[in-house]
Amino acid sequence: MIEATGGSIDIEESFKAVEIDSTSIQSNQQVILDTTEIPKILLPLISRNGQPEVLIFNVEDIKRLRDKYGILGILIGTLAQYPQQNFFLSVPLKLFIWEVIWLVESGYAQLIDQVNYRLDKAKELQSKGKLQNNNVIVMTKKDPNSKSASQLESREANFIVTPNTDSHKYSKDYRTICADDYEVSLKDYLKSYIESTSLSQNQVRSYYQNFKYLKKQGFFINPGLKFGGDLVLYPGDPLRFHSYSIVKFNMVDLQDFVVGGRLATSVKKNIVIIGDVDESEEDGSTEEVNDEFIQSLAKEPKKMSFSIEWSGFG
Amino acid sequence: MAKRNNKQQLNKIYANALPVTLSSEKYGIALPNLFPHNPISWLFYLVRLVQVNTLYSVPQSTVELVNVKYEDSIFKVTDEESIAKLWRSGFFGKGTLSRSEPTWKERTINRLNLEENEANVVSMEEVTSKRRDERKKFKTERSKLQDLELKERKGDISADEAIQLENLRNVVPNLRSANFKPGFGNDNKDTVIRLEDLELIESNILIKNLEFLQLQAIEVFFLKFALNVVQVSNLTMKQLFYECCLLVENSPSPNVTNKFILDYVVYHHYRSLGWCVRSGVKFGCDQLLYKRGPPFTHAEYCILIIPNDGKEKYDWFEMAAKARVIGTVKKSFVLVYVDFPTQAKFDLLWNSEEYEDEGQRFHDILHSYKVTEVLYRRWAPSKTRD
Repeated sequence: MIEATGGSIDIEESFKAVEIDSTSIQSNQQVILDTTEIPKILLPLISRNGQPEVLIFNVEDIKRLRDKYGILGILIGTLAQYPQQNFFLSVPLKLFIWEVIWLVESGYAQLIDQVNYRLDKAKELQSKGKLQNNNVIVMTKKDPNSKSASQLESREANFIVTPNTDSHKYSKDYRTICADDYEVSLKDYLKSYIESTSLSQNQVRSYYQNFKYLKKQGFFINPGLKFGGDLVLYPGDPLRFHSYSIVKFNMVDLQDFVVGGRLATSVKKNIVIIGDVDESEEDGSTEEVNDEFIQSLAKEPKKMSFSIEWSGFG
Repeated sequence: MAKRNNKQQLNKIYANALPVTLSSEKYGIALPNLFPHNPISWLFYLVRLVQVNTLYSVPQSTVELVNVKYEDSIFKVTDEESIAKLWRSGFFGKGTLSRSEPTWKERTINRLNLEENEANVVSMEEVTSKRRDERKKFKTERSKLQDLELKERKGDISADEAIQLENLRNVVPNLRSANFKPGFGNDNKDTVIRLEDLELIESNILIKNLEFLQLQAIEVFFLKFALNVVQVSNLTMKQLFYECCLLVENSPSPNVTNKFILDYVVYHHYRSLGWCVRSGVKFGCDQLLYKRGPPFTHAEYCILIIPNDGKEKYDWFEMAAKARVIGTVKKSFVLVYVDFPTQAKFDLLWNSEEYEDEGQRFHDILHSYKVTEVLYRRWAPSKTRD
């Protein structure tokens, strides 16, 4: 707790933090270029047994996901400076299920049990005596009498600053110790996911393969609820491109065609329907999420897609 | 002035809200006014009432029933007079070759410039296509203008282009001004007669009408059950009902939640309340409610019918999409939940031998259904806030 009593107090720590961040990102990029072995991104899994959710707080990881893998996710936090707007949001980044499966399956990331990982890490650090308060906050006190020379006063802050998440720079030493031990397998994740939704296993597989199929074509993909579809496709980063397609999985109803076509055209897009060429694949109707199911995710069945546009509007 | 004439004309054409003939219309008689405080007026009223009911037959019974053919799961009306009657009083059915009102014949006569074309009527389809052409023209002109403006900004514009730019600047804004109406009449296009057209005309007169009026199942049953103005290919009312149910789902006896029955319940509900109900397929919902009818106003409400069985019929994605589509066309989205009786109760009424009057059976069956309306509005908090 800092109380500002008389005169303004600048906290330089925050500026420092920013500097550290930018340098670390640069160095990180170099690392990616230099070495062939890229550390996997950690996907912190929250609420592992209820409704599993992957929330990423590490800005570096978010940047890497976006730049390198084209994975967007959705920012769901509030910007502290502009708490009233909800157009541009801040960390954490929420990944949706297809993105998570794709990242894990492609070997770019690993799921970790965030709650236990953090608890144990804290314990370990404590026992090793590494968890100590070494944050020093430098405050400038403006003296109304002497304008030129500002008095510097250093004192120990009475709060603990821990790095946001496990950025690679901070965590390198204990990451190798812990993170792998808390890895959650894709199987466990999907098991609890399927339990918490109305989707069946076959649907999850088929939809994921739709996602993968589109990802392979190089699209950037966002969830499409706001356009009444399952996904929205962007030809590149959404910050630079408008989307031009809404994707809907397995559309059968005539009304859906009408609604989809009308809606898409009114927002200057088209609607893409995507489905399996061969429907007979649906043999694995077992209730259990087993290894076979996980392996079947990696298969690449033939997909077929159609786009619909409403020609009525001038 | 033209607008008012138009309105009067419409009022005249569409004077009847339903295809039923009233005594006042047919015989020019009406019951006198009744004044509650004046006993003589009661007496007069009674006398006239008896008179009207004994001397004159009920006009509806003297009018011939409209013939509806049931072929290939489609209800067709082919007779031109019947088509006009069903369309003009209550807006029933849809022309199979037109957007809604059967105008194929008029349009063909117009297109081929045949002799019958005196009134020079302009159908809604022609207005639309005209408007689209104008819009396309506006867009090409505008893009030309924008190209030239870009050149001007960059500074490499020739003298010719500068003149062209000046012209476009004057023309383009007018193309889209509020008062702009596409013009008709003076652009006499050359008549193009295709090979197919030769089969249709004989000595400059149209001899075939390829179009017929197609009725929805719910419309046919309403005309039969509620108004009794149609005869459907020798089907009795019960057979008709069953056929309609079969269109949706094949079962030995109608299921209580058969989509046809639910649709009909809602259709009858709104027709009884005086709305003009038409299919909502073009906006992805079940029905549309018009205050008077399509020529008068746009539809105000889009109806989505949901059986009240506690199951989720539409998921969030579908609801979001529908609501968005309906929102953009400035209509209100109404979810109509239909409560239905148990299957046992339905079967009892359906199979009962007691009914002499089939109408009474369906009256009782439909009475066991209930509708509840919920108005749904898409609301984006971030965009609605000031």
